[in-house]
Amino acid sequence: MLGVSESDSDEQIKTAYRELAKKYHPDRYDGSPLSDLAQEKMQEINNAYDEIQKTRSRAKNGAQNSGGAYTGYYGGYSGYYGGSYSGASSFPDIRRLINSGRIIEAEELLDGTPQSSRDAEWYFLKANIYYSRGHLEQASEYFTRAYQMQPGNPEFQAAYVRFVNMRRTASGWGGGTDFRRIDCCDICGTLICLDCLCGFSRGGLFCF
Amino acid sequence: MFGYIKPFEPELKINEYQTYKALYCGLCKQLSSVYGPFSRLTLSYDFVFLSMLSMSLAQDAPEFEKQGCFFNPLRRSPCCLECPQQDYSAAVAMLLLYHKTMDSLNDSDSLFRFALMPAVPLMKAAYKKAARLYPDVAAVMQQAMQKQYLLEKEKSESLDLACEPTAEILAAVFEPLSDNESQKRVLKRLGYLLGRYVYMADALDDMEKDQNRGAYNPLLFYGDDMESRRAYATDALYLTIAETGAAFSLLQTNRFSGILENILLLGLKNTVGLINIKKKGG
Repeated sequence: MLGVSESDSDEQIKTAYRELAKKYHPDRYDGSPLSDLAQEKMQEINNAYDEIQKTRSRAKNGAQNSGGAYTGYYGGYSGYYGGSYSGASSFPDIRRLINSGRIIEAEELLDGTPQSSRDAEWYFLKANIYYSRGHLEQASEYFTRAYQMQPGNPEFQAAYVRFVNMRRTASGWGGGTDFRRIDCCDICGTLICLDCLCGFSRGGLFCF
Repeated sequence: MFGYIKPFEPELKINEYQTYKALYCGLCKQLSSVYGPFSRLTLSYDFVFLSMLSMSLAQDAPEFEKQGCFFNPLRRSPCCLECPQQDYSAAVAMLLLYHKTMDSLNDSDSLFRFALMPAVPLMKAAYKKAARLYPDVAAVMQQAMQKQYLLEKEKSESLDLACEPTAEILAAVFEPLSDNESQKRVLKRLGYLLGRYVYMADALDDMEKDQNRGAYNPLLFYGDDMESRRAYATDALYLTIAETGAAFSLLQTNRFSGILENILLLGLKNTVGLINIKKKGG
């Protein structure tokens, strides 16, 4: 499940867990129509890690609880999905509808709000609706608007920053395409890459 | 419109590269066998991606065999044998080819039209055959093309709305690749996002050409100059690519995850870079 083997060290397993936790982190799927699936996946990963920890603790004769670092990570990611708003909302019904995937109804209610009541939260919820539907440009605009109207709000700020990062890096996790952890620019300078270029198609190569 | 979904080759393992080539060969052969030799012209990286995605979700693994190549008779290389996943990909290629051709016929000059004419009856036949095999996909495509025609006629300024017909087509093409309800949701989202990507990449690529011809291109409504439009388009593409990665992470594949990850997490971004380099070069 975690992609590790029995012979891996505790450190390696912790690293593997962290990588997966970053990948399926609720922040990456906040507001996404697939957030419930991400939550399921996160739960599976947590369970798997839990199992491994238990097995290893038992093997160590219970002398040492190696769960120090993992509880910190583990504890933070449960039940975070589907709306993390901790303050008082002006639109609790609409939030509930969005969280249960009833986007069309949510939008109807939201659009029915008079212009004068359209505060930062209104724009934030509208952004979520666009995001759900896949209208990412509109979502981006409205998240920005909500943040500009109320920059102190952590929820609006998180969404805004997340979208800014995605626009800049084309990635939703780790702040970069760090999969396989190879710095392409290092390779470009070496003969290995030149060798590759000769062997591969002449379709163009862009090292980023 | 095609060729924007391809791997970032320097990061492919050698065996992944060889597998990819074998799938390319396999699709070429299957296209020819089902729709005739001319259909090979539709062969592009995007349809190889589609067969690979389909195969990654299938129960049974595809089979390979060393075969000769029509275009390079001196070599015998591994080729993927005929299978239902390639059949689907070939059919989708035929459906899209037909629509693209009819589109080109409508807004091209008479010389180009004249050159396309003899191909039309062949394409119509291929279209009919593919549509009979996969009527639901054909129907969605038909509706989406109508929607595209209308929003272009109205000169819609919304990039999201302009992408939507293509997005809806790919969502409908990807959804049937699994029977599992959760997987279907992921596939639908993945297809929608890739459709956005393809439309936007094409719009970015054709920005100058469309401006000169007075053709519809939603990017032309932004900013005052090409430089700022290009920057905006790149941002929008990056956002869609990021979401594509997030959706793909939730897909449960049985094989080919390395190549698929390469394509979606590295290839798409690389392609945008290539398009931009082309522009700067003049």
